[in-house]
Amino acid sequence: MISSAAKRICGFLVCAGVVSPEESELYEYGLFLLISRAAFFVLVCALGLLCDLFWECILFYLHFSLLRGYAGGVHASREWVCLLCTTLCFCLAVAGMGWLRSSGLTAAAYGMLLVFGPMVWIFSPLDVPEKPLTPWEKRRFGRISKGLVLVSALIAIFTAQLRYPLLLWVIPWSVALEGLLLLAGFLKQHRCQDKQEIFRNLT
Amino acid sequence: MKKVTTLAAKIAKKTAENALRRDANQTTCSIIFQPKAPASLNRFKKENA
Repeated sequence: MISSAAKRICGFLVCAGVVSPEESELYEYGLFLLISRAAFFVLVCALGLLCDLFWECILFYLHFSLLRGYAGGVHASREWVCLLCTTLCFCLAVAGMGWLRSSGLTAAAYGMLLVFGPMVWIFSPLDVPEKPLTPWEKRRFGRISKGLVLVSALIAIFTAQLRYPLLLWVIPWSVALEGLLLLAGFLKQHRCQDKQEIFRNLT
Repeated sequence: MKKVTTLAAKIAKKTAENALRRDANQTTCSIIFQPKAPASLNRFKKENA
């Protein structure tokens, strides 16, 4: 869906003469990134307006896309699966933020940070075969994602202590979602490696 | 009309380049699907700067 829209727009850019046919693959990829980000931003805003969590959803989207961008995690093998899973994840996060805000359970928020923060710390960065990282990039992106989790968690806790708990409803859900995606990605990679090992031993 | 089309195309190209520059210096894209990154993405990497 998004990739076909990106392909169509790229075709328009090639016809307009601003992109050469040799570069069309690159710009199609860039347009895919752009359209997917915009589409999910609109989705998150819509969910926020529906659930009266507009600013929470905006903050969640900004934090999660930044964290996910550096930490990595599991990826779906097909685009439609991705669209479905991403939508479900965002709906779950919005529902969770609403529950945290209405219940006021700060202990649950602290618990989520304690459980999922180390998960992000341990497993990030997690690259994929479609976009492998160099050793330099692994070190750099690992430091950035760990720093991001630590700093945002501390800011959320600090502002909650000052009786402004907005970030405490948002950051734990972003960290929890990313932690789960990283864990799923790690297990998926090791399951693939195990299958290859078994096949190699059999042959 | 042609000027407007060309201008729109240039804006789209510039915006796509910004997205590429950002993605080249990150682990992955923010949704749960990573298309195969083209080899020419490397020219946007900070490591190669």
